[in-house]
Amino acid sequence: MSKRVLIVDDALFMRAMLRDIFEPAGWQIIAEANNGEQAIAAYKTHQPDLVTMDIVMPELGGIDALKKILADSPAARIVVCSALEQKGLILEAINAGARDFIVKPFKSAQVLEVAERVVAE
Amino acid sequence: MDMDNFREMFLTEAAEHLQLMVDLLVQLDSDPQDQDGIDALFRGAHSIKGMAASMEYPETARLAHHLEDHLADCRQLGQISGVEIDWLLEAVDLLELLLGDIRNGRPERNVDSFIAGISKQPEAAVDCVAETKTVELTACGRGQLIQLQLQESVAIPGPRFLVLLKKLADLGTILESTPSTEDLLQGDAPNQLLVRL
Repeated sequence: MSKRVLIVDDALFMRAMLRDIFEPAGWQIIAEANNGEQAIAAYKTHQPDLVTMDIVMPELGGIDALKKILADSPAARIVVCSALEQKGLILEAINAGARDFIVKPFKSAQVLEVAERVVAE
Repeated sequence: MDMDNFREMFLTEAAEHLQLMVDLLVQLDSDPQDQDGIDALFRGAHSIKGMAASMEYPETARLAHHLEDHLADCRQLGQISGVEIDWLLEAVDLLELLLGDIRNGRPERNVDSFIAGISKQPEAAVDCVAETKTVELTACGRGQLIQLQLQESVAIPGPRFLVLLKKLADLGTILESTPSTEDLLQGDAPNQLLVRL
């Protein structure tokens, strides 16, 4: 059965890029969300194998969304997506329970390597 | 999806962000302490930077990055001045010209002079490199001493070490580590991590 991923990013472009990386590799995009509130609702509904969570988003940011998802579902596998220079935010996210991180701009091999590894843990 | 489709999507979404940024700047001109407005401006620049870097449009990414840095300072200050608003409007105009270059298949215009006019600080690289790691295990004294060494090409060692430290904590009790979790959270970026499990 294909692995199911929830993609969270406020930019349609970034979601499309991730979809373009995951789908050819056999992953199912179970849902997409464009802010933290949507991500929390989508996680509850779909219980995906993996969440890719952007950090900087309107309404509710990625780190707050991650904390809320993990409060309800401590086993949630969430990797955060951020820019290289936002080291502080990445550290904060990992400390809050993110399993790993991927940096923008996305490289297909890097995204899939992190995703497969985190799901296999 | 082919790159033409991604380019169209990039151009559409970036143009929407720029329009929103202009609207926000006009609003901030009359309410310069509107934190939500400054936050939204920051997110706009951040989004354009990320998208442009992904599409490998270096000048657009560099200028958006410069705006993002500038707006991060404004966020900390909690306000934005009239002079800054004027400069940001100029920057948005330049970003629109860059989008025009891309839309018309021209090379992006160089943004050096615009950036140099405001700040001579060097720009951070937006390049991304593959990460690999090697792990050596040795028995030494109480518990196991584990040395983790990252390849020099790893872009941001601090967060990578924090991930590895948390994974090691799943394997056993961490008696001590150098640097510690706290040190890593403070921003330490060592080239190796020593852990006693």
